[in-house]
Amino acid sequence: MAVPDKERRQKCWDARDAYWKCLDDGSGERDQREDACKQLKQLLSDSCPPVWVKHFDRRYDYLKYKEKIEKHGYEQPHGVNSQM
Amino acid sequence: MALSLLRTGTLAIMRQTPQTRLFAPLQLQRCTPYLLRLMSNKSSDPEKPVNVQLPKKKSNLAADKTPISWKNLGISVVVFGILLNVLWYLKKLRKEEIEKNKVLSIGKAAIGGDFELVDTSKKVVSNKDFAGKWVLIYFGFTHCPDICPEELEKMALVVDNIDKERSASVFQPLFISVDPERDTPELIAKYTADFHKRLMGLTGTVDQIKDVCKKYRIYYSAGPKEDGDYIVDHTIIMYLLNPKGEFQQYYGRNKTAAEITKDVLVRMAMYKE
Repeated sequence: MAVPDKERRQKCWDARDAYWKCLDDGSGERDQREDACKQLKQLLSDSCPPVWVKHFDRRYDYLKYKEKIEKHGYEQPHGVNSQM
Repeated sequence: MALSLLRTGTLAIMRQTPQTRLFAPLQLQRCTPYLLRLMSNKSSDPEKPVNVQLPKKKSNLAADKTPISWKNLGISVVVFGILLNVLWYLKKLRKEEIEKNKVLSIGKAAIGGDFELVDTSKKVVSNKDFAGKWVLIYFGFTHCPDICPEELEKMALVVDNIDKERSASVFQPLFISVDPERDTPELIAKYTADFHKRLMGLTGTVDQIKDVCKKYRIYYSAGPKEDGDYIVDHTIIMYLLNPKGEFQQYYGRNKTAAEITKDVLVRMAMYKE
């Protein structure tokens, strides 16, 4: 896979931002939102190398998780004893 | 036993010489007016105020010397206390200074060192080629999806800013690849040109990159391959080296172009050969 040049990189990032915004603005569960943004996901896949798409998906989850922790604090997963 | 002897001894002296009252506890001091009155009863003129009837010398001792001495003692205690505090503070400052220098010297020795790499015209380049120049290094890879291009765009802004203030001959921006298997000199040439014409790209053999990354404390690890493509996870950091090639400062992702520019310019101005 050739390295995306500046123009291709920008196109890829624009597609990523559009897809992420669609996910953010959508309502319902994650599956429903992803389904509603299918077209933009296709555009993302067309604009970026496959490993980048995977990386962006992971990054989106990471950023959401980070945001949640910053807003609501860390929640102990079930089964973990909170009394140390 | 010894204590009681000491106590009675003190009282005995007190009765003999009023001067020793200086060193007596405050409670005993309160007895003084009573003693004076007893003495004044023997005097010939009861009309006169008590203290005036005493012999002049004694009056001085009782009325003047004692209070002043207490004051002096108080002042002495306070001054002594302040001096002790100042000494203690100076000692603390010195200790902190020594600690600070210790940390600095550790930092100096831990990051950086000699390296030999390949530039975009396949020429061997070593750290000695940058002697006399300030060097700003970013470690990354050309197939990088988001962070490297962002950091390199930031670096390009820093280069523009510094070139406005200083001659281009004293400052060299560098890009060093952490993906030696894919990043050929040709690929790096194309990649760095996207960001800044002054950005010099360096790559090398697997061992050369391993060596430079070890010396500069850069972690890197290639992720799983998919159709030959992969993402390299690596430390995101910029380093500033002084004209002697020594580590001067690092800039993380949170630093803005303006902050980095300012820091580099200040360090350039403060630098002594």
